[in-house]
Amino acid sequence: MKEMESDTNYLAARREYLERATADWEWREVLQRSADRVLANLEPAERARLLAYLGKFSACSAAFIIKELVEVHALAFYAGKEEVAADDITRIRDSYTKPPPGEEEGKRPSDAPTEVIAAALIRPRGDDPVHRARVQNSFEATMKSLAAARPQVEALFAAWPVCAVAFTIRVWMWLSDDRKREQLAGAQFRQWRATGDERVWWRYFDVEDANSAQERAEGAD
Amino acid sequence: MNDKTAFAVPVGERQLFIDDWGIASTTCLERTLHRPVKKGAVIRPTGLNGALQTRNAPIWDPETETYRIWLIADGGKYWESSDGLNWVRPYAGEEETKRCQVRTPEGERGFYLVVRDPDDAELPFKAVLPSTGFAASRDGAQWQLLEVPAIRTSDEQNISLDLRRHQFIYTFKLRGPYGRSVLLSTSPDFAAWSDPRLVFHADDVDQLLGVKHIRDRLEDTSLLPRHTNDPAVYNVDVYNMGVFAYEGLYLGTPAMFHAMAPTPDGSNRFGFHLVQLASSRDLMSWQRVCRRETFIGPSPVNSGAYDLTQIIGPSAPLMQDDELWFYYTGLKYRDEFPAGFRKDADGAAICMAVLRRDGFVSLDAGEEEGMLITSAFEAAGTTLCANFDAPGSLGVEVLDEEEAVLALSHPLKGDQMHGAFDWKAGSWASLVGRSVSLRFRARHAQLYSYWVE
Repeated sequence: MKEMESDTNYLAARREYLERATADWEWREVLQRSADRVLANLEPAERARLLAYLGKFSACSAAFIIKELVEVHALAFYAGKEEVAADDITRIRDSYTKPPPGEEEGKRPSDAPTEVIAAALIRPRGDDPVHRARVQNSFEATMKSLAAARPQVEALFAAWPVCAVAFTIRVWMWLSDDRKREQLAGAQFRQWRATGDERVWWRYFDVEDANSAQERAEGAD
Repeated sequence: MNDKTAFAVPVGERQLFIDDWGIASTTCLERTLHRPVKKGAVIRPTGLNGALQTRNAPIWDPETETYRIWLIADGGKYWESSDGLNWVRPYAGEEETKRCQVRTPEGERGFYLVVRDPDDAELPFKAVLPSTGFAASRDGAQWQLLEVPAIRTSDEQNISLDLRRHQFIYTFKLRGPYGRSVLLSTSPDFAAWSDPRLVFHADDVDQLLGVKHIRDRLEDTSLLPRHTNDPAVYNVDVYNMGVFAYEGLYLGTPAMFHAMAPTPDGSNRFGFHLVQLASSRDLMSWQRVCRRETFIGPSPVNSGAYDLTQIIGPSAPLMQDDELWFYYTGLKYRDEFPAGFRKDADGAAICMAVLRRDGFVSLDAGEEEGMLITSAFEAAGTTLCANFDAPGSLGVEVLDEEEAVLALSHPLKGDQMHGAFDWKAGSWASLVGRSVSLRFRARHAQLYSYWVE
């Protein structure tokens, strides 16, 4: 029964990921095959552990775990290379199946209660110490700007896999300065509270503004 | 593959093979993307401030019998040419400036996005003033601001005119998935604009392929070396996308920006562009062409070319006889360079690349016979023609709804832009009004398009 639930969670996260990843049906097939191959190549105990971990999260946020599985073989499959090396999944093992429980994705219990955020911030960020410091400082400034809402956002991030938080940081850091990051985070928070849709935390807002104006004009929800 | 009832082959409209529209089936045919052949810079910033850029296509003005183009530049904003190859800057100072700006309530505003509407005798020249409004002119020299609300955009835009549907197509940049994304608005009259819609953006596949493109670029010693590289900020987004009508479809040239490292102040990214090709039947739903292969890529370093790093496509190509001329922006640099690196003073120019008419994509047959069956359509016209390069042979059969052969052509050979089929059995002209499909048979051939006259 538990295995069935795990599979259901996996399928839901995979479906969510594929819908978000691309509209290109040919590529969707490649991406799906890549994720499934990684899962199939794990030992049964490893697979069970990964699926159990994935099952802790909403399908929306667990989709980022699928994204990491997809990245293992997708380019090889796309190039028509079906034979893949066993050590291609080393990174997946290092992240999800080797660490002690509670330390997946680089989480450190000593960073509790914000170990998910801390792990997202220490994810590989290149060799440039200036950029690493900028990410850290900008993240802190953006979280601070949320003021009274900050605990709610921290609680939300704590309920996600690390890779999902890392993507929010990526979205924020795409912007050119902290003022814009703060504006975006504020808009994301308001929309999340209004809709309950976690996906707003992985979106950019210019386009949503434009399209929601159109939808209002068309009388859409 | 398609809704066959909707497929039609209007007389004079070429049917290309960029997407699957109108194709019922293919056997032993490979789709190939063809890159336009680069001809080098045609407008250089000689003696000017360092950089010239375009988002336009040159405009043919029948009154002055010149090509005209408006550029992004500090000096050299307006150029003319009698042949599209040799360009002159006919005005300088105030005379040039007045042709490139218009008075608005907020002061003078410059522009560089200009199209000419041959159906508007009064004000044929039309210009977009990004986030400010729209302007028009009788002669391209004296401009007036139109009372048309502005469309909010970021800092990238393109404009073209689809003459067949008489529709202005305005694409521009806002933030969307993965960053820079393309919104589109259309207008039949340059006054009433549709609400902007997100139509094109990067996706996860672009990010996957982007890592490969970046690695390939780092390893390619023929290209300008990259001096900054930080995998933490790798990202691919759509810098801009010119969109133009071509025969029965719309084509776009998205400039995919591959971010490789942050700028020192963190406000932007260093990186490079690869221009791809995209197609649409309705302007809203877009498909990438030929597995997202590069349509215009960088030139080798030390080649004298400008398009070493940033490549930004035009709004539309210029049709010249049986060629498509793409005037695009080539920029040499977008990186931080080590001390002592000597940058050229002329950083950007208007480059040209030439493509065979209809030559974006071909269906290719090798030794084994390749076969293409079209969707059914109502036969019209008197002659069936094709654009092909066949060292081997290309023939066609006209089929009825049961796939019985109604007419059989003699095989054609050679490189023919206007190959007209003649008939061994039956004839095209005798089939007018009937529902037919075509079965092309090819060996050692590249088929670009077919049409009826």
